[in-house]
Amino acid sequence: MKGKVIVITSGKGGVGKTTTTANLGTALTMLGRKAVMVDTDIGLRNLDVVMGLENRIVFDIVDVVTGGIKLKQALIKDKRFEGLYLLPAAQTKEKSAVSPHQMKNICNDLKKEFDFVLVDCPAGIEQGFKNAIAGADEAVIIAIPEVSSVRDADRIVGLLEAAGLRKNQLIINRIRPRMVKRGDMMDIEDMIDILSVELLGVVPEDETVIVSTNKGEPAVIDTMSRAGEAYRRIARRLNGEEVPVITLGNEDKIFNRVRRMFKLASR
Amino acid sequence: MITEDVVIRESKGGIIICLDSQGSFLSLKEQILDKLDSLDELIGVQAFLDVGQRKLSRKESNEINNLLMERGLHLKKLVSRGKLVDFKKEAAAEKSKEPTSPSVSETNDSVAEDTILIKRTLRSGQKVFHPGNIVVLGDVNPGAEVVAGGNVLVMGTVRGLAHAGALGSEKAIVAAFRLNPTQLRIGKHITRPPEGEGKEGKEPEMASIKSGKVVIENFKV
Ligand SMILES: Nc1ncnc2c1ncn2[C@@H]1O[C@H](COP(=O)(O)OP(=O)(O)OP(=O)(O)O)[C@@H](O)[C@H]1O
Ligand SMILES: [Mg+2]
Repeated sequence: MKGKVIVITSGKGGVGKTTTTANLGTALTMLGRKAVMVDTDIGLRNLDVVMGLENRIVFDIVDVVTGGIKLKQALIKDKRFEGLYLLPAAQTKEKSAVSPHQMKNICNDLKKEFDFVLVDCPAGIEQGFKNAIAGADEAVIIAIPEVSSVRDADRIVGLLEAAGLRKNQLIINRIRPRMVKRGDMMDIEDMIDILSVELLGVVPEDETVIVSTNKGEPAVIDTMSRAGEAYRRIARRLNGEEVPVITLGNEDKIFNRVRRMFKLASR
Repeated sequence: MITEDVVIRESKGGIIICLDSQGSFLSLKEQILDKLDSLDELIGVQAFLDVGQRKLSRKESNEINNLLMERGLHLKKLVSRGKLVDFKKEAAAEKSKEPTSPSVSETNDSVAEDTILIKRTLRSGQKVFHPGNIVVLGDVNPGAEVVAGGNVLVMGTVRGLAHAGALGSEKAIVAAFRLNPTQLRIGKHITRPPEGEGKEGKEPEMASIKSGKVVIENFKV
Protein backbone atom coordinates (compact mmCIF):
# COMPACT_ATOMS: atom_id res chain seq x y z
CA MET A 1 0.00 0.00 0.00
CA LYS A 2 1.27 3.44 -0.83
CA GLY A 3 -0.62 6.28 0.78
CA LYS A 4 -0.06 9.98 0.69
CA VAL A 5 1.25 12.39 3.26
CA ILE A 6 -0.79 15.56 3.62
CA VAL A 7 0.47 18.36 5.85
CA ILE A 8 -2.16 20.63 7.39
CA THR A 9 -0.70 24.07 7.87
CA SER A 10 -1.64 27.75 8.13
CA GLY A 11 1.16 30.03 9.29
CA LYS A 12 -1.17 31.84 11.64
CA GLY A 13 -2.02 30.12 14.91
CA GLY A 14 -5.43 29.08 16.15
CA VAL A 15 -7.21 28.95 12.80
CA GLY A 16 -8.15 25.26 12.95
CA LYS A 17 -5.25 23.04 11.90
CA THR A 18 -5.69 20.59 14.76
CA THR A 19 -9.48 20.61 14.45
CA THR A 20 -9.16 19.89 10.74
CA THR A 21 -6.63 17.10 11.22
CA ALA A 22 -8.80 15.37 13.80
CA ASN A 23 -11.98 15.66 11.76
CA LEU A 24 -10.48 14.65 8.43
CA GLY A 25 -8.62 11.72 9.97
CA THR A 26 -11.80 10.47 11.57
CA ALA A 27 -13.97 11.11 8.50
CA LEU A 28 -11.54 9.31 6.21
CA THR A 29 -11.67 6.19 8.39
CA MET A 30 -15.47 6.47 8.38
CA LEU A 31 -15.13 6.14 4.60
CA GLY A 32 -13.23 2.91 5.14
CA ARG A 33 -9.72 4.23 4.62
CA LYS A 34 -6.75 3.79 6.94
CA ALA A 35 -5.49 7.06 8.38
CA VAL A 36 -2.83 8.15 10.83
CA MET A 37 -2.65 11.61 12.35
CA VAL A 38 0.80 12.89 13.24
CA ASP A 39 1.09 15.69 15.78
CA THR A 40 4.26 17.70 15.10
CA ASP A 41 3.48 20.51 17.51
CA ILE A 42 6.19 19.49 19.97
CA GLY A 43 5.78 21.25 23.29
CA LEU A 44 2.21 22.30 22.54
CA ARG A 45 0.56 19.05 21.68
CA ASN A 46 -3.21 19.19 21.28
CA LEU A 47 -4.31 16.57 18.83
CA ASP A 48 -4.43 13.84 21.47
CA VAL A 49 -6.72 16.00 23.62
CA VAL A 50 -9.01 16.90 20.73
CA MET A 51 -9.23 13.19 19.90
CA GLY A 52 -9.75 12.24 23.54
CA LEU A 53 -6.70 9.99 23.47
CA GLU A 54 -4.44 11.83 25.91
CA ASN A 55 -4.62 9.16 28.61
CA ARG A 56 -3.46 6.46 26.20
CA ILE A 57 -0.08 8.05 25.38
CA VAL A 58 2.94 5.99 26.37
CA PHE A 59 5.52 6.94 23.77
CA ASP A 60 5.70 9.91 21.44
CA ILE A 61 7.37 11.01 18.21
CA VAL A 62 10.57 12.10 19.96
CA ASP A 63 10.87 8.68 21.60
CA VAL A 64 10.69 7.19 18.13
CA VAL A 65 13.53 9.30 16.72
CA THR A 66 15.78 9.25 19.76
CA GLY A 67 14.78 6.52 22.16
CA GLY A 68 14.92 3.44 19.99
CA ILE A 69 11.16 3.00 20.29
CA LYS A 70 9.56 1.38 17.26
CA LEU A 71 7.10 3.48 15.30
CA LYS A 72 4.42 0.82 15.82
CA GLN A 73 4.85 1.02 19.59
CA ALA A 74 4.20 4.74 19.65
CA LEU A 75 1.09 4.62 17.46
CA ILE A 76 -2.15 4.87 19.42
CA LYS A 77 -5.07 2.97 17.96
CA ASP A 78 -8.37 4.78 18.20
CA LYS A 79 -10.78 2.07 19.32
CA ARG A 80 -13.85 3.96 18.12
CA PHE A 81 -12.85 3.97 14.45
CA GLU A 82 -11.46 1.07 12.50
CA GLY A 83 -8.13 2.05 10.94
CA LEU A 84 -7.54 5.33 12.79
CA TYR A 85 -4.21 5.93 14.55
CA LEU A 86 -2.40 8.81 16.23
CA LEU A 87 1.30 9.48 16.56
CA PRO A 88 1.45 11.98 19.42
CA ALA A 89 3.90 14.86 19.79
CA ALA A 90 6.14 15.15 22.82
CA GLN A 91 5.01 17.62 25.41
CA THR A 92 8.16 18.02 27.44
CA LYS A 93 10.95 18.02 24.88
CA GLU A 94 12.65 20.62 22.71
CA LYS A 95 11.31 21.41 19.27
CA SER A 96 14.72 20.67 17.80
CA ALA A 97 14.51 17.08 19.05
CA VAL A 98 13.24 16.07 15.61
CA SER A 99 14.97 16.95 12.34
CA PRO A 100 13.34 17.32 8.92
CA HIS A 101 15.27 14.27 7.77
CA GLN A 102 13.94 12.11 10.62
CA MET A 103 10.45 13.40 9.99
CA LYS A 104 10.72 12.41 6.35
CA ASN A 105 11.70 8.89 7.34
CA ILE A 106 8.74 8.60 9.69
CA CYS A 107 6.35 9.79 6.97
CA ASN A 108 7.81 7.38 4.46
CA ASP A 109 7.38 4.49 6.87
CA LEU A 110 3.83 5.49 7.71
CA LYS A 111 2.66 5.79 4.15
CA LYS A 112 3.57 2.19 3.52
CA GLU A 113 0.89 1.24 6.04
CA PHE A 114 -1.73 3.93 5.70
CA ASP A 115 -3.84 5.46 2.91
CA PHE A 116 -3.60 8.88 4.49
CA VAL A 117 -0.92 10.35 6.73
CA LEU A 118 -2.23 13.66 8.07
CA VAL A 119 0.45 15.86 9.61
CA ASP A 120 -0.77 18.51 12.04
CA CYS A 121 1.69 21.40 11.66
CA PRO A 122 2.50 23.90 14.41
CA ALA A 123 1.88 27.62 13.84
CA GLY A 124 4.73 29.72 12.45
CA ILE A 125 7.36 29.17 9.79
CA GLU A 126 10.23 27.98 11.98
CA GLN A 127 11.75 24.58 12.65
CA GLY A 128 8.41 22.97 13.50
CA PHE A 129 7.01 24.00 10.14
CA LYS A 130 10.07 22.72 8.30
CA ASN A 131 9.74 19.39 10.10
CA ALA A 132 6.06 19.09 9.35
CA ILE A 133 6.43 19.67 5.61
CA ALA A 134 9.60 17.59 5.19
CA GLY A 135 7.83 14.35 4.34
CA ALA A 136 4.69 15.79 2.79
CA ASP A 137 3.42 14.98 -0.69
CA GLU A 138 0.62 17.53 -0.57
CA ALA A 139 -0.52 20.38 1.63
CA VAL A 140 -3.85 21.60 2.92
CA ILE A 141 -3.71 25.25 3.92
CA ILE A 142 -6.19 26.49 6.52
CA ALA A 143 -7.23 30.13 6.48
CA ILE A 144 -10.01 32.04 8.16
CA PRO A 145 -11.66 34.99 6.42
CA GLU A 146 -9.40 37.63 7.93
CA VAL A 147 -6.79 39.69 6.15
CA SER A 148 -3.94 38.61 8.45
CA SER A 149 -4.79 34.94 8.06
CA VAL A 150 -4.84 35.21 4.27
CA ARG A 151 -1.52 37.03 4.37
CA ASP A 152 0.06 34.24 6.43
CA ALA A 153 -1.48 31.57 4.23
CA ASP A 154 0.05 33.28 1.22
CA ARG A 155 3.45 33.28 2.86
CA ILE A 156 3.02 29.58 3.60
CA VAL A 157 2.06 28.77 0.01
CA GLY A 158 5.19 30.60 -1.12
CA LEU A 159 7.33 28.52 1.24
CA LEU A 160 5.60 25.30 0.19
CA GLU A 161 6.21 26.09 -3.46
CA ALA A 162 9.84 26.87 -2.71
CA ALA A 163 10.11 23.51 -0.96
CA GLY A 164 8.84 21.81 -4.11
CA LEU A 165 5.29 21.05 -2.96
CA ARG A 166 3.04 21.52 -5.94
CA LYS A 167 -0.33 20.28 -4.78
CA ASN A 168 -1.60 22.86 -2.30
CA GLN A 169 -5.29 23.09 -1.48
CA LEU A 170 -7.19 25.58 0.64
CA ILE A 171 -9.77 25.11 3.37
CA ILE A 172 -11.52 28.26 4.50
CA ASN A 173 -12.60 27.78 8.13
CA ARG A 174 -14.98 29.65 10.42
CA ILE A 175 -17.12 31.23 7.74
CA ARG A 176 -20.17 32.92 9.24
CA PRO A 177 -23.06 32.62 6.79
CA ARG A 178 -24.90 35.64 8.12
CA MET A 179 -21.85 37.88 7.81
CA VAL A 180 -21.20 36.60 4.31
CA LYS A 181 -24.75 37.47 3.29
CA ARG A 182 -24.34 40.95 4.74
CA GLY A 183 -21.06 41.36 2.91
CA ASP A 184 -19.23 41.95 6.19
CA MET A 185 -16.81 39.14 5.76
CA MET A 186 -13.81 38.83 3.57
CA ASP A 187 -15.07 37.51 0.28
CA ILE A 188 -14.27 33.85 -0.39
CA GLU A 189 -13.76 34.80 -3.99
CA ASP A 190 -11.15 37.40 -3.02
CA MET A 191 -9.34 34.91 -0.83
CA ILE A 192 -9.06 32.40 -3.64
CA ASP A 193 -8.02 35.16 -6.00
CA ILE A 194 -5.08 36.18 -3.85
CA LEU A 195 -3.97 32.70 -2.86
CA SER A 196 -4.62 31.19 -6.30
CA VAL A 197 -4.75 27.64 -5.00
CA GLU A 198 -7.47 25.07 -5.40
CA LEU A 199 -10.36 25.35 -2.93
CA LEU A 200 -10.83 22.08 -1.07
CA GLY A 201 -13.68 23.21 1.12
CA VAL A 202 -15.40 25.76 3.30
CA VAL A 203 -16.18 25.04 6.97
CA PRO A 204 -18.72 27.17 8.84
CA GLU A 205 -18.23 28.71 12.26
CA ASP A 206 -20.02 26.22 14.47
CA GLU A 207 -20.35 25.92 18.25
CA THR A 208 -20.57 22.14 18.02
CA VAL A 209 -16.86 22.21 17.14
CA ILE A 210 -16.00 23.65 20.52
CA VAL A 211 -18.36 21.31 22.35
CA SER A 212 -17.03 18.24 20.57
CA THR A 213 -13.42 19.35 21.02
CA ASN A 214 -13.92 19.55 24.75
CA LYS A 215 -15.51 16.11 24.80
CA GLY A 216 -12.65 14.63 22.78
CA GLU A 217 -15.00 13.63 19.97
CA PRO A 218 -14.45 15.14 16.54
CA ALA A 219 -17.48 16.98 15.09
CA VAL A 220 -17.77 14.59 12.14
CA ILE A 221 -19.32 12.01 14.47
CA ASP A 222 -22.17 14.37 15.23
CA THR A 223 -24.63 14.06 12.34
CA MET A 224 -26.26 17.35 13.35
CA SER A 225 -23.04 19.37 13.24
CA ARG A 226 -22.75 21.64 10.21
CA ALA A 227 -18.98 21.87 10.51
CA GLY A 228 -18.93 18.08 10.79
CA GLU A 229 -20.93 17.83 7.59
CA ALA A 230 -18.47 20.16 5.83
CA TYR A 231 -15.53 18.04 7.01
CA ARG A 232 -17.25 14.83 5.87
CA ARG A 233 -17.61 16.33 2.41
CA ILE A 234 -13.97 17.45 2.38
CA ALA A 235 -12.91 13.94 3.34
CA ARG A 236 -14.87 12.50 0.41
CA ARG A 237 -13.12 14.99 -1.84
CA LEU A 238 -9.73 13.93 -0.49
CA ASN A 239 -10.81 10.37 -1.13
CA GLY A 240 -11.20 11.20 -4.81
CA GLU A 241 -14.94 11.76 -5.05
CA GLU A 242 -16.35 14.80 -6.80
CA VAL A 243 -18.42 16.69 -4.25
CA PRO A 244 -19.57 20.27 -4.78
CA VAL A 245 -18.32 22.81 -2.24
CA ILE A 246 -21.02 24.16 0.09
CA THR A 247 -20.42 27.85 0.32
CA LEU A 248 -23.31 29.18 2.36
CA GLY A 249 -24.85 31.94 0.33
CA ASN A 250 -23.22 32.19 -3.03
CA GLU A 251 -23.12 28.58 -4.15
CA ASP A 252 -23.08 28.93 -7.90
CA LYS A 253 -20.33 31.47 -7.99
CA ILE A 254 -17.91 29.43 -5.97
CA PHE A 255 -18.75 26.16 -7.61
CA ASN A 256 -17.95 27.64 -11.00
CA ARG A 257 -14.80 29.03 -9.61
CA VAL A 258 -13.69 25.68 -8.24
CA ARG A 259 -14.45 23.99 -11.51
CA ARG A 260 -12.40 26.58 -13.29
CA MET A 261 -9.49 26.05 -10.94
CA PHE A 262 -9.68 22.30 -11.38
CA LYS A 263 -9.54 22.80 -15.12
CA LEU A 264 -6.56 25.06 -14.82
CA ALA A 265 -4.81 22.57 -12.61
CA SER A 266 -5.45 19.59 -14.84
CA ARG A 267 -4.31 21.31 -17.99
CA MET B 1 39.82 14.37 -3.38
CA ILE B 2 38.19 16.83 -5.70
CA THR B 3 38.25 20.39 -4.53
CA GLU B 4 34.91 22.10 -4.77
CA ASP B 5 34.53 25.00 -7.14
CA VAL B 6 31.52 26.37 -5.36
CA VAL B 7 31.20 26.71 -1.62
CA ILE B 8 28.09 28.07 0.01
CA ARG B 9 28.30 29.33 3.56
CA GLU B 10 25.54 30.68 5.70
CA SER B 11 26.12 33.99 7.39
CA LYS B 12 23.92 36.04 9.62
CA GLY B 13 22.66 38.31 6.85
CA GLY B 14 22.09 35.56 4.32
CA ILE B 15 24.32 33.20 2.36
CA ILE B 16 27.75 33.66 0.86
CA ILE B 17 28.51 31.91 -2.41
CA CYS B 18 32.23 31.56 -3.05
CA LEU B 19 33.42 30.74 -6.56
CA ASP B 20 36.75 29.17 -7.35
CA SER B 21 38.82 30.94 -9.98
CA GLN B 22 39.39 27.76 -11.99
CA GLY B 23 36.78 25.80 -13.89
CA SER B 24 34.46 26.77 -16.69
CA PHE B 25 31.64 29.20 -16.11
CA LEU B 26 29.15 26.58 -17.26
CA SER B 27 30.20 24.05 -14.66
CA LEU B 28 30.20 26.78 -12.03
CA LYS B 29 26.62 27.57 -12.85
CA GLU B 30 25.59 23.93 -12.59
CA GLN B 31 27.35 23.56 -9.28
CA ILE B 32 25.68 26.65 -7.91
CA LEU B 33 22.29 25.20 -8.88
CA ASP B 34 23.13 21.84 -7.30
CA LYS B 35 24.25 23.48 -4.11
CA LEU B 36 21.20 25.71 -3.92
CA ASP B 37 18.90 22.75 -4.41
CA SER B 38 20.41 21.04 -1.40
CA LEU B 39 19.56 24.01 0.82
CA ASP B 40 16.01 24.44 1.90
CA GLU B 41 13.94 27.61 1.81
CA LEU B 42 15.80 30.41 0.16
CA ILE B 43 13.08 32.78 -0.93
CA GLY B 44 13.88 36.32 0.13
CA VAL B 45 17.33 35.43 1.45
CA GLN B 46 20.15 37.82 0.64
CA ALA B 47 23.10 36.42 -1.21
CA PHE B 48 26.65 37.62 -1.33
CA LEU B 49 28.74 36.45 -4.22
CA ASP B 50 32.46 36.09 -3.64
CA VAL B 51 34.17 35.65 -6.99
CA GLY B 52 37.69 35.68 -5.55
CA GLN B 53 40.30 36.03 -8.31
CA ARG B 54 37.83 35.23 -11.03
CA LYS B 55 36.78 38.00 -13.33
CA LEU B 56 33.14 37.76 -14.25
CA SER B 57 31.89 39.56 -17.31
CA ARG B 58 28.79 41.66 -16.92
CA LYS B 59 26.88 38.98 -18.83
CA GLU B 60 28.14 36.24 -16.53
CA SER B 61 27.33 38.12 -13.36
CA ASN B 62 23.89 38.83 -14.73
CA GLU B 63 23.42 35.16 -15.51
CA ILE B 64 24.29 34.25 -11.95
CA ASN B 65 22.04 37.00 -10.69
CA ASN B 66 19.12 35.68 -12.74
CA LEU B 67 19.74 32.17 -11.61
CA LEU B 68 19.71 33.28 -7.98
CA MET B 69 16.64 35.38 -8.58
CA GLU B 70 14.74 32.41 -10.00
CA ARG B 71 15.35 30.63 -6.71
CA GLY B 72 14.01 33.65 -4.88
CA LEU B 73 17.46 34.80 -3.73
CA HIS B 74 18.32 38.42 -3.72
CA LEU B 75 21.88 39.16 -4.84
CA LYS B 76 23.02 41.88 -2.53
CA LYS B 77 26.72 42.28 -2.98
CA LEU B 78 29.56 41.03 -5.07
CA VAL B 79 32.95 40.48 -3.48
CA SER B 80 35.90 40.54 -5.82
CA ARG B 81 39.49 39.87 -4.70
CA GLY B 82 38.43 40.57 -1.17
CA LYS B 83 36.90 43.88 -2.22
CA LEU B 84 33.25 44.47 -1.50
CA VAL B 85 31.20 45.73 -4.40
CA ASP B 86 27.70 46.92 -3.76
CA PHE B 87 25.67 45.30 -6.46
CA LYS B 88 23.14 48.11 -6.58
CA LYS B 89 25.73 50.87 -6.73
CA GLU B 90 27.76 48.94 -9.26
CA ALA B 91 24.78 48.65 -11.55
CA ALA B 92 23.98 52.30 -11.09
CA ALA B 93 27.54 53.31 -11.80
CA GLU B 94 27.65 51.16 -14.89
CA LYS B 95 24.46 52.69 -16.07
CA SER B 96 25.73 56.23 -15.67
CA LYS B 97 28.92 55.26 -17.53
CA GLU B 98 26.93 54.22 -20.55
CA PRO B 99 26.91 56.85 -23.26
CA THR B 100 23.59 58.60 -23.12
CA SER B 101 21.98 59.11 -26.44
CA PRO B 102 19.22 61.59 -25.66
CA SER B 103 16.60 60.19 -28.00
CA VAL B 104 16.87 56.74 -26.47
CA SER B 105 17.03 57.69 -22.81
CA GLU B 106 13.88 59.75 -23.34
CA THR B 107 11.88 56.58 -23.78
CA ASN B 108 13.84 54.90 -21.04
CA ASP B 109 15.21 52.17 -23.28
CA SER B 110 18.65 52.34 -21.75
CA VAL B 111 17.99 49.40 -19.44
CA ALA B 112 15.69 47.51 -21.78
CA GLU B 113 18.22 44.84 -22.69
CA ASP B 114 18.59 43.97 -19.04
CA THR B 115 15.21 42.50 -18.25
CA ILE B 116 14.35 39.54 -16.09
CA LEU B 117 11.23 37.48 -16.25
CA ILE B 118 9.65 36.09 -13.09
CA LYS B 119 7.35 33.28 -14.10
CA ARG B 120 5.34 32.98 -10.92
CA THR B 121 3.28 34.88 -8.41
CA LEU B 122 5.31 36.70 -5.77
CA ARG B 123 3.77 35.83 -2.43
CA SER B 124 3.92 37.47 0.97
CA GLY B 125 7.50 37.70 2.22
CA GLN B 126 9.05 37.26 -1.20
CA LYS B 127 11.11 40.03 -2.70
CA VAL B 128 12.74 40.47 -6.06
CA PHE B 129 15.33 43.08 -6.84
CA HIS B 130 16.93 43.61 -10.20
CA PRO B 131 18.89 46.61 -11.48
CA GLY B 132 17.17 46.41 -14.89
CA ASN B 133 13.54 45.82 -15.77
CA ILE B 134 11.34 43.21 -14.14
CA VAL B 135 8.46 41.46 -15.83
CA VAL B 136 6.25 39.33 -13.57
CA LEU B 137 4.04 36.69 -15.15
CA GLY B 138 1.75 36.41 -12.16
CA ASP B 139 0.59 38.56 -9.29
CA VAL B 140 2.49 40.56 -6.69
CA ASN B 141 0.59 39.74 -3.52
CA PRO B 142 0.24 41.80 -0.34
CA GLY B 143 3.50 41.58 1.60
CA ALA B 144 5.56 40.87 -1.54
CA GLU B 145 7.94 43.39 -3.09
CA VAL B 146 9.13 43.88 -6.62
CA VAL B 147 11.96 46.40 -6.86
CA ALA B 148 13.57 47.33 -10.17
CA GLY B 149 16.23 49.79 -11.21
CA GLY B 150 14.23 50.08 -14.42
CA ASN B 151 10.59 49.46 -15.16
CA VAL B 152 8.17 47.05 -13.56
CA LEU B 153 5.60 45.26 -15.68
CA VAL B 154 3.19 42.88 -14.00
CA MET B 155 0.99 40.62 -16.10
CA GLY B 156 -1.36 40.15 -13.19
CA THR B 157 -2.51 42.10 -10.15
CA VAL B 158 -0.17 44.20 -8.02
CA ARG B 159 -1.44 44.13 -4.44
CA GLY B 160 1.91 44.44 -2.68
CA LEU B 161 4.74 46.89 -3.14
CA ALA B 162 6.13 47.86 -6.52
CA HIS B 163 9.15 50.11 -6.90
CA ALA B 164 10.41 51.22 -10.31
CA GLY B 165 13.48 53.35 -10.79
CA ALA B 166 14.84 52.15 -7.46
CA LEU B 167 18.32 53.36 -8.40
CA GLY B 168 17.03 56.88 -8.84
CA SER B 169 15.46 56.97 -12.28
CA GLU B 170 12.41 59.19 -12.44
CA LYS B 171 11.56 57.97 -15.92
CA ALA B 172 10.75 54.45 -14.84
CA ILE B 173 7.18 53.21 -14.90
CA VAL B 174 5.07 50.58 -13.18
CA ALA B 175 2.49 48.97 -15.45
CA ALA B 176 0.13 46.21 -14.44
CA PHE B 177 -2.86 44.32 -15.67
CA ARG B 178 -4.52 45.38 -12.41
CA LEU B 179 -2.84 47.99 -10.24
CA ASN B 180 -3.96 47.86 -6.63
CA PRO B 181 -0.73 48.18 -4.64
CA THR B 182 -0.32 48.65 -0.91
CA GLN B 183 2.37 51.10 -1.87
CA LEU B 184 3.86 52.28 -5.12
CA ARG B 185 7.26 53.88 -5.52
CA ILE B 186 8.96 55.45 -8.47
CA GLY B 187 12.44 56.83 -7.97
CA LYS B 188 12.24 58.61 -4.64
CA HIS B 189 8.49 59.12 -4.76
CA ILE B 190 6.24 57.07 -2.53
CA THR B 191 2.48 56.88 -2.98
CA ARG B 192 -0.36 54.96 -1.44
CA PRO B 193 -3.78 54.39 -2.90
CA PRO B 194 -6.32 56.90 -1.55
CA GLU B 195 -7.98 55.79 1.69
CA GLY B 196 -11.29 54.01 1.50
CA GLU B 197 -11.16 53.54 -2.24
CA GLY B 198 -10.91 49.79 -1.89
CA LYS B 199 -12.08 48.51 -5.24
CA GLU B 200 -9.56 47.26 -7.72
CA GLY B 201 -9.32 48.95 -11.07
CA LYS B 202 -10.88 47.08 -13.93
CA GLU B 203 -8.39 48.20 -16.55
CA PRO B 204 -4.67 47.81 -17.09
CA GLU B 205 -2.97 50.83 -15.61
CA MET B 206 0.38 52.53 -15.69
CA ALA B 207 2.08 54.70 -13.10
CA SER B 208 4.72 57.25 -13.99
CA ILE B 209 6.06 60.55 -12.76
CA LYS B 210 4.57 63.61 -14.39
CA SER B 211 5.62 67.08 -13.26
CA GLY B 212 7.08 65.70 -10.07
CA LYS B 213 4.12 63.55 -9.05
CA VAL B 214 3.22 59.92 -9.42
CA VAL B 215 0.19 59.67 -11.67
CA ILE B 216 -1.77 56.56 -12.52
CA GLU B 217 -3.52 56.36 -15.86
CA ASN B 218 -5.33 53.77 -17.87
CA PHE B 219 -2.93 51.96 -20.07
CA LYS B 220 -3.44 53.02 -23.65
CA VAL B 221 -1.71 51.45 -26.59
N1 LIG C 1 -15.29 25.93 12.45
C1 LIG C 1 -15.11 26.27 13.73
N2 LIG C 1 -16.14 26.75 14.46
C2 LIG C 1 -15.95 27.09 15.77
N3 LIG C 1 -14.79 26.99 16.42
C3 LIG C 1 -13.72 26.52 15.75
C4 LIG C 1 -13.82 26.14 14.38
N4 LIG C 1 -12.59 25.70 13.98
C5 LIG C 1 -11.78 25.81 15.06
N5 LIG C 1 -12.45 26.30 16.13
C6 LIG C 1 -11.89 26.55 17.47
O1 LIG C 1 -10.76 27.40 17.34
C7 LIG C 1 -9.77 27.05 18.29
C8 LIG C 1 -8.45 26.81 17.60
O2 LIG C 1 -8.56 25.65 16.80
P1 LIG C 1 -7.35 24.65 16.57
O3 LIG C 1 -6.73 24.27 17.85
O4 LIG C 1 -7.82 23.58 15.66
O5 LIG C 1 -6.37 25.63 15.78
P2 LIG C 1 -4.83 25.38 15.41
O6 LIG C 1 -4.64 26.03 14.08
O7 LIG C 1 -4.49 23.94 15.50
O8 LIG C 1 -4.10 26.19 16.54
P3 LIG C 1 -2.52 26.20 16.90
O9 LIG C 1 -1.91 27.11 15.89
O10 LIG C 1 -2.46 26.74 18.27
O11 LIG C 1 -2.06 24.78 16.77
C9 LIG C 1 -10.30 25.84 19.04
O12 LIG C 1 -10.82 26.27 20.26
C10 LIG C 1 -11.38 25.30 18.14
O13 LIG C 1 -12.37 24.65 18.86
MG1 LIG D 1 -2.87 22.99 16.65
